[in-house]
Amino acid sequence: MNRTAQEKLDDLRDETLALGQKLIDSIPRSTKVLLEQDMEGAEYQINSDDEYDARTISLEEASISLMALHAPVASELRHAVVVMKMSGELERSADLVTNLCKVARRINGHPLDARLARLISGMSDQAHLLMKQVLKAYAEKDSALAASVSEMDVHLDTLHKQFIQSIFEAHTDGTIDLAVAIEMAKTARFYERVGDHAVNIARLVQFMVTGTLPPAGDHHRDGRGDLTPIGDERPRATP
Amino acid sequence: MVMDEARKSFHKDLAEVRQELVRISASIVESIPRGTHVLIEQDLGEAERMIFADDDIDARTVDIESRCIQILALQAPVAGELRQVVSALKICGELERSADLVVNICKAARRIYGHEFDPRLRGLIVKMSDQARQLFSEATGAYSSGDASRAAAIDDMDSFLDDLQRQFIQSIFESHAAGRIDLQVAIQLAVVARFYERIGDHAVNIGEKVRYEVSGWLPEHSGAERFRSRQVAPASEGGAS
Repeated sequence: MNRTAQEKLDDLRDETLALGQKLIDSIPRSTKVLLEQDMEGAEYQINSDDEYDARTISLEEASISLMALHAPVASELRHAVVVMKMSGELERSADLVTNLCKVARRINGHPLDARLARLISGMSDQAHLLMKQVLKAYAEKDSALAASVSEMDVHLDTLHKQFIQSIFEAHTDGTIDLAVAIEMAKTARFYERVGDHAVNIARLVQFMVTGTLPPAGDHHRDGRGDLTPIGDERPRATP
Repeated sequence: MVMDEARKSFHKDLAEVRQELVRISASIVESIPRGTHVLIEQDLGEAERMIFADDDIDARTVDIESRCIQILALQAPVAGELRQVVSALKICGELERSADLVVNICKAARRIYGHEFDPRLRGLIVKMSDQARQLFSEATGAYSSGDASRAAAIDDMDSFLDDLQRQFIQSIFESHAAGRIDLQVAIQLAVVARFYERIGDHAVNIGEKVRYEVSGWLPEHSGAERFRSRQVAPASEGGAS
């Protein structure tokens, strides 16, 4: 690849990192919106997601055009492919974070009890940490750090399960109604899926650095897409 | 002559990638009603078989991804052929996630085992399932035949699935209020509704990739469009379109 192409690839990396940083920052900010029911903050995040979408699409187009115009090979080709795929992961992650702010709007006026709020903070911290680590792994081309992100995600899945349990308890105690309970169950999945996207990015980083694609999928760990437990996994009689 | 041979094998590679993706996609189409059957009939044996079978789809999509990257590296395709490889790379991810969502329906079935839910909820689940299946079948057909207009129609069909999902959530509230289902089942079913909805979203995404591949059309996500309409269009790297 010539010098121009290398410069273009550097630009793509910079934009990927800039979008990554914006995403990282938006996680705790949106959690605060949710917990404090900050309607102005919600509007800000929801509006800024449009710009984010536009930038991820431009990034994707730029990575494809780099491949078309410069036909990179080896590690540079891998980097271009990774940027192309990462743009989608970032875009969907930002959508999920934005969904948190939409939940804040829908549950506005229904305060959450302290236990739920604490668990939401815990999931948010963990999702934030996963994204931070994986973007660091990308910036530093560190495949070992990327590999550790999958392990860290297990913790987020555990928090998710505790949270679902707490929703049932809160409902039993009468502190939240079904509509809020469903919003909370969705909220937990949003954090969990941000974690899943971090794991997907980790896989891309490993590929970029090593040239080998680690397996996709999730059955080596219990979690992604899961909503266990519902308190009692044993078959029960119909109420 | 050597060049001709290389081109021939390149076209063969592209065709094989498409065939394999179509096969995977068709198996997902077929798995949607099976997953629904597992949920409605509480068939735990079938749930387990389907959860195991997903590993195979994961492995196959990784093979295709690797193969696409190899094609990029060895052939450096441009224009329409580059778009074919890019689409295939992206469709891999859509298929992998869609298969996971069907598995999630089976996992939900395990969790609500032993709990009955009323005929109205069952009826709506079957409708959502039929609609998701139809969307996915259209996406598979559009990709298989490279039919951009068929792909464009998928988006309209998806709004019907979104409507069904809203009706279903409403029915969950009514059933819960009437004491016919408990909270745990209500929440599981609400999440199941989202699984069908998201299978529909993935079908729409596959349709978008088909349109991109055929015509270079890029999905301007509605948000990106809104943003651009408010701004002077940012300078983008042209070339691929």
